[in-house]
Amino acid sequence: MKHILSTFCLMAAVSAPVAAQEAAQDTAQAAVQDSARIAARNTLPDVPMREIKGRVYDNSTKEPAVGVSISAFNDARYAAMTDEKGDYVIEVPTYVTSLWMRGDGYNSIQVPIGKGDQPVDAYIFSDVFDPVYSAVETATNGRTVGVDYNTNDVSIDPQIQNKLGADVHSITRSGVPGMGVAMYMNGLNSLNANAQPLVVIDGVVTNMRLNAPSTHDGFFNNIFSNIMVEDIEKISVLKNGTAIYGAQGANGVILIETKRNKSMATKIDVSIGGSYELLPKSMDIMNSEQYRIYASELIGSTGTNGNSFKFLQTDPNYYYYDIYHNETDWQKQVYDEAFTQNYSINVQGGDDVANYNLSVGYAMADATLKNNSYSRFNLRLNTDIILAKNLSVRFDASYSDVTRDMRDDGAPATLDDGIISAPGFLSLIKSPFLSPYAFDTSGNISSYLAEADDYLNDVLPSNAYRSSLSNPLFILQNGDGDNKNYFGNRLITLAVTPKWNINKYWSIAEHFAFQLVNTDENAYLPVNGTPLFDVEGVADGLENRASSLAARETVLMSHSYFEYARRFKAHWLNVRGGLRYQHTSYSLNQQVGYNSGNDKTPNMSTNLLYKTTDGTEEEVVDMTYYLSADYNWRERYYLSAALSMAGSSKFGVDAADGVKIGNYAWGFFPSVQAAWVVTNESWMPRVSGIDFLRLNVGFDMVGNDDIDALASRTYFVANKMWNMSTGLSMGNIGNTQLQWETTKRFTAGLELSAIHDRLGFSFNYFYGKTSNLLNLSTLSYLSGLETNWKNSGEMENQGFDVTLTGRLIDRKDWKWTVGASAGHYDNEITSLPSGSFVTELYGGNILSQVGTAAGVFYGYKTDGVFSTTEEAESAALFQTDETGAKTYFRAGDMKFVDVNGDHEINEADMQVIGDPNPELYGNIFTNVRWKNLSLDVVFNYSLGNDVYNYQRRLLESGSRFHNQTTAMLSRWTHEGQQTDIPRISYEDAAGNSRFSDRWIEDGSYLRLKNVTLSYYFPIHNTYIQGLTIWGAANNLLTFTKYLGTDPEFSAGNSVLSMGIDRGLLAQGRNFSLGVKINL
Amino acid sequence: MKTNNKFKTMMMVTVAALAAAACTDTWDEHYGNEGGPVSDKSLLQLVEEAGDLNDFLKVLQSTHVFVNNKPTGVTYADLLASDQTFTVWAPKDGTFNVDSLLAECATGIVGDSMCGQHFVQNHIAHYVTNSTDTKSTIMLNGKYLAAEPGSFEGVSYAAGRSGQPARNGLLHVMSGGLPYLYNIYEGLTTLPEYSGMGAFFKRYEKLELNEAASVASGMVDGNIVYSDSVMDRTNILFGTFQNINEEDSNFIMLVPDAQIWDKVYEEAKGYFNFGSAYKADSLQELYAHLAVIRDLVYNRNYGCQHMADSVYSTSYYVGDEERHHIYYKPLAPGGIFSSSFVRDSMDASNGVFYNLYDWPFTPEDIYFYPVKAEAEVESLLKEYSGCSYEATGNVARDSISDGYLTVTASNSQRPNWTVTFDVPNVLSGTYDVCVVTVPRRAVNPNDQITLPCRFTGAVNYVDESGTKLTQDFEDYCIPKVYEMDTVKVGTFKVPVTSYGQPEANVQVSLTCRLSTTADRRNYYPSMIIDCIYFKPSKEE
Repeated sequence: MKHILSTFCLMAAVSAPVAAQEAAQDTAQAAVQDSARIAARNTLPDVPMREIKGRVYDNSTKEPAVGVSISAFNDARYAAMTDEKGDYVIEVPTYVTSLWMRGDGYNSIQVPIGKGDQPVDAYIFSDVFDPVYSAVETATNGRTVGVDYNTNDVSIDPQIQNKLGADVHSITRSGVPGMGVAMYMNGLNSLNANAQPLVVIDGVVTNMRLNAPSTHDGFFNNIFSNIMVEDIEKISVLKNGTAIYGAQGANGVILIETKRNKSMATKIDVSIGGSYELLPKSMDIMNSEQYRIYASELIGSTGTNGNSFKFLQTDPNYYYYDIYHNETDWQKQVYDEAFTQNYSINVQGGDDVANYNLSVGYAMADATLKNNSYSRFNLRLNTDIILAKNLSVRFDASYSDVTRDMRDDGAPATLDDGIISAPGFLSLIKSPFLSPYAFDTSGNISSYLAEADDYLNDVLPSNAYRSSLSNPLFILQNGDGDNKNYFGNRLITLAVTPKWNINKYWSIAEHFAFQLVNTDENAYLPVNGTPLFDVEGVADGLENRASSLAARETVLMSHSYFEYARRFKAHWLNVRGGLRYQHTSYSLNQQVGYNSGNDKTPNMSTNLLYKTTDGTEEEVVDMTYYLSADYNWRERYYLSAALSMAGSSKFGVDAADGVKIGNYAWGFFPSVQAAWVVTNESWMPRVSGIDFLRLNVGFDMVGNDDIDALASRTYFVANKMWNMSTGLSMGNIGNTQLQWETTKRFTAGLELSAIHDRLGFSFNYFYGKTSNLLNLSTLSYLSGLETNWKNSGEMENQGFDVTLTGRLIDRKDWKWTVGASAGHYDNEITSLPSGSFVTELYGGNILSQVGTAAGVFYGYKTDGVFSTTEEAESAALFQTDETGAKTYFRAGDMKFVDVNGDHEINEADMQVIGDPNPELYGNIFTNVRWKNLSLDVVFNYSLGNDVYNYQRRLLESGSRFHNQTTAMLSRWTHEGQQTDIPRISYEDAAGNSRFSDRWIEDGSYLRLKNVTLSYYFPIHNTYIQGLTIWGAANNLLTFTKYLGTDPEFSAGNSVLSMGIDRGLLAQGRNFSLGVKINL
Repeated sequence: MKTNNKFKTMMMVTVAALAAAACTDTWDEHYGNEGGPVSDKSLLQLVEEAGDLNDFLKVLQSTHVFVNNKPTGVTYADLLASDQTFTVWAPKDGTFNVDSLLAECATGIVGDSMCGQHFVQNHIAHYVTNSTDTKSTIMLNGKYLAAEPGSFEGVSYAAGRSGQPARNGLLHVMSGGLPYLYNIYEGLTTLPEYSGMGAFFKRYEKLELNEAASVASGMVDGNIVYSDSVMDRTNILFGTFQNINEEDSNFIMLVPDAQIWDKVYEEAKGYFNFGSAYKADSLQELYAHLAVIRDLVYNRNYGCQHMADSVYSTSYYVGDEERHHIYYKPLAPGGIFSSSFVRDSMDASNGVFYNLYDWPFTPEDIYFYPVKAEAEVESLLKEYSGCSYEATGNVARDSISDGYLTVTASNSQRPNWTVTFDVPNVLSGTYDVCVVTVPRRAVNPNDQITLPCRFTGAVNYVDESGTKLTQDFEDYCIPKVYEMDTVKVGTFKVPVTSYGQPEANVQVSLTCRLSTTADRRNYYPSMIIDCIYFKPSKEE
């Protein structure tokens, strides 16, 4: 057994430089390495040595720090330890330029030793402070953060946002639990393909399936929600040097590592938590009286010649009076305070043969939008096993099962087709004078839910059901059930990683992983409580809808690699190369059918009408050969280089930038990085106030291969004509030259620790140019198809991120850290095949044009409302309909800016009216600690980003019989009225509600995202090794001028949908309480 | 030091509060309507506070809103305080006779209703109408009044008093009351000068339950009980005359003086003698009235767009091959709208009355039309003997006939066949009874038969007592061989009409008459019949 232990220690010692930083975070591991130093002493080279003396102080008490491990930086073979006076003496080669000091309960620091024989004293900070710099051993640039476990978050996303706010531009998608965040790094590196970073979980490239279809509107697929936060050890972002990920690394890389055991003592952590979320901010919408005035005014523009309507009768004895004289706050009917439960048990332990980390968790979270719940059961086992001398293996297995009760959320993309089915949006637009419950024929209210409303039948008799709105409570209640509205997602991962250390320099390993993601989903829109509806291309007057979806993704990954690590005196070399092979099999099928006849048979069946089936069957093979090398000389000058050769079945066989090897096109992706640790220069005085300074610069060429799996192929698809006969038609005309998008990125930055490590500062700059943008190219009509994918166009990104951290107080009992981070990017499209194109989304226009940023809003500018007829006639603005007839804008209409001065308001007057890209984003954070009581506060912010408030547009268009916001109370009604809200008009013939700057708002915000107070009870007895009680509050305050309920949202995952607010569930104030018990 | 910390704390709190306040301000400014405040007063409050609208206010407070033809407890004053949007054109005090209105209101339900309909509802409209608008505004009584910049239905706004905003609409103060106009139907049924024709219309007016719109709450003693019974005032004649009760049309109604009305009605009755038929008098009255009236109503929106050339009445329909109901040069001397007949006119809310001092129509213009029975319509072929026949709807050559019946003797040795046709809708007048024949080569160009057929005719009819009789015509009829021929069989005065009835009481029988060998040599026992044609005759 001892032999095995010493072997393990030796292996650890040899590989220690590679993992030095990791080791520095872990004192237990360090102890192992220290013992290895003795074993390895005989192998030390014969080099000139120098003796370094010094003293290490605890910075908080200014007392000597005892038992602090001192080693040559990046070379643990030369090590010592401070004595009871804090003194140490270490003999290191003369080429050594800095020491690495680490101790239990302390932050590790890198201390330059300079020249001469002056004592090298150091002040070392408690590890309750986060490190202010990362002492990496390569020239690449990244950032790693640990995970806070005092949380009930069901996924890691909020911590990515809170801890990496400037490194990753993160936008919370919605307030539904586990919907996650949309993430962008280094600007926006694609227009039409995925622009979000590659996610690598425990070394497995994970397809996040961000654009996976769903049967529920407003839902976001988020694999992160399958992973328990307590299982995650740390999160890293790679800002450069991502070439080893070849054609997948252009959008940056996020590495998620789960916990592994590091101690031979058995440790059991039990965590129990609960959260209570208050109702989200609600819109100020009209009450019953205000809405009736609005509706009765709007009738005047419907063209009806009716003059008597049931809902306008004022006689209390009238039969319909009670039905139409209620005061219903529909928002209260569909929203409710929500509760979250979170339980987990983590057991770690092991011996010198095997180490394991086993965790089990269960979480259940309700959304504040009723009937939108989330639950997860998860199980994870991570093991590290020493099989034999020099042969180890990691075996990991995990299983998680996520289920959701779901309903549609958010305003639909169009109100002109289909049915409004999202209870949240319905609660805004549903008439408040109606009751959720039906009245019986005697005029008494009942306990039965009311059917879809029909109060407009006598206003719009020829269009009756199209004006009717569902009773959202019916959708909530009658849509309940696993066979009605349900989402299930199971993630299974198995990984085996044997590693053989051939000798002290060489090792080879194989990482084999199997991942299965199984998804099934049902959606059901009930017959009862909903009106008939039309679906273009299907039929008119449909009664209800049932749909289902099943998807299965199987990933087989094989990552074979070698590593060679060796120090040649002052030179350090680490070479790594390998082959990553990934086979992804993805199949999806979804069905939709209509008119089940009743709500008792919600399942897909042959009895449904207008049934359609759609699906995907993909087999994708990705292969990446790579070779990377890290070199440094005296830990002063670092150089890293990498080259990968990537091939994918998604590439066209004649990919333009590819090199054809065999019958396939391969892309080559090089990167080179250099870094200079200035403080390790001998001429750098130790008293300059600069404790650590590292400059880095680099270049990467990376790709983005988020191409439709079959886009490069020509294929046929099955079609059913008239629901009768089935045939084949061409589904795609392949583009054999199709390839990845290519990003060439230059990066530069610095990391600084100054004023005796009190101040931390990091700055990173990037300039990237993305070419071969994937665009849909218009095909000749002769082809029978409209478009196919093509590479053309370029865009540039330039920006920076900066983080400043100050350790303001470090006393024995008091410690206070304050910091802030800021990120910025400028994006510009520099080339497009057509010069520009406009994408219509949610009634808005997104312009992609050379010279502008991606995602900008393109529409009309306004200059108020014509107050008087005289003013309108003086302006003489008009628009022309399809017959050529002119219609002049009149009093009460919007005054659109006539850009070309021809008085005609048309497309020529459209201009860029907003930019969703922020000027600045990031966090402000602080931690105050008194003894064992700790307070963490995190703000996040986004400044200068414009928002297209689509939901407000629907609530202030004044063109439908939908309830509106109270802003509409100041709508123009009379001559001379000064207002910025135009007159109302059914279906808005004047186009006052067209896409204009009326709906573009400043989406800047500063949000008090998280406040966590925790207290650690230092209990140590037979049963309990520690106890922490914590409480947290999220989203406590939001400072913004934004007029929506939440300035954070995502309409979709694409770049072009950024900044569009469709009113998904807003984040509410959330209060959590939890206890963690260490057994 | 402590002071310094306190100062910092206060500063931070102040900054946070200001930031919060700033954000709240934006929200409140937008959703709190600080950008464009409108009044929080109701229309009633504006009327009450105006000072010179007291007369109007009194009437508002005295008249009740009617629902389903029944008064409610809600007055129009209450209505103007309610949560729905109105525009009110309120006449200033002293510009209308408030006392008479109040007195009318006080007379009971009918007076209340009339006061509401003729005055109050005539000054209030749903929705919003500004004083600068140019549009037709539908008032609560359904009348369309004309909004022009500066005036409403010709009445000017009181200076500086238009467009006063309330939370539930707009108030315009007017320099006078707005005129009330009857619509065509109201005029006919209300005005004494039109009582003759009006009485006819009134007779078909009904107040009936609209079952679809009513809410049934159960059965009591086998009868449906309604929680809400919706009663509709209907008239079956509305549909006949394109809804002359509706306000959104523009009619021309020719209305004869009472004497003329009586005279032409009496004349028409002679053509609609139903004899001993069930409810013969009622049928005679209805159809005679309709016959007289049918060309008195014109819709300016349909059929009068080219009035200088021609107009057609509401009875016209596009498929009418005979093009009845069309009148040419109606404005020229002798035209139906000319001073040759029209004495004067009177505006209605949905058109105009042209008062006639002379009757511009003959019976042949408006109801005594030729009657055709198409021979190929097999349901009209009541009997046939000694022949076979073939009916076809095919168009004969050059569309000279849209269908025809070919009758051929079954046995060339016994060629005297007989066919009998129903001829419905024949009026009780004198007709020339004719048969229209089709030349054989129009049907078959290769037909080699050049001989005509020879036949005689007879009319089967019913006399006033209901007895079935036959009138035989002895003269031989020989149609032309090479052309369409209208062969007169005889002249006959029909004693009793079956107009509009399911069973025709007039039949025509045709009998082929080939008795001798010579006849068979000179005539052919087959004939192609296009139709039986009753042509109005002046002969008595």
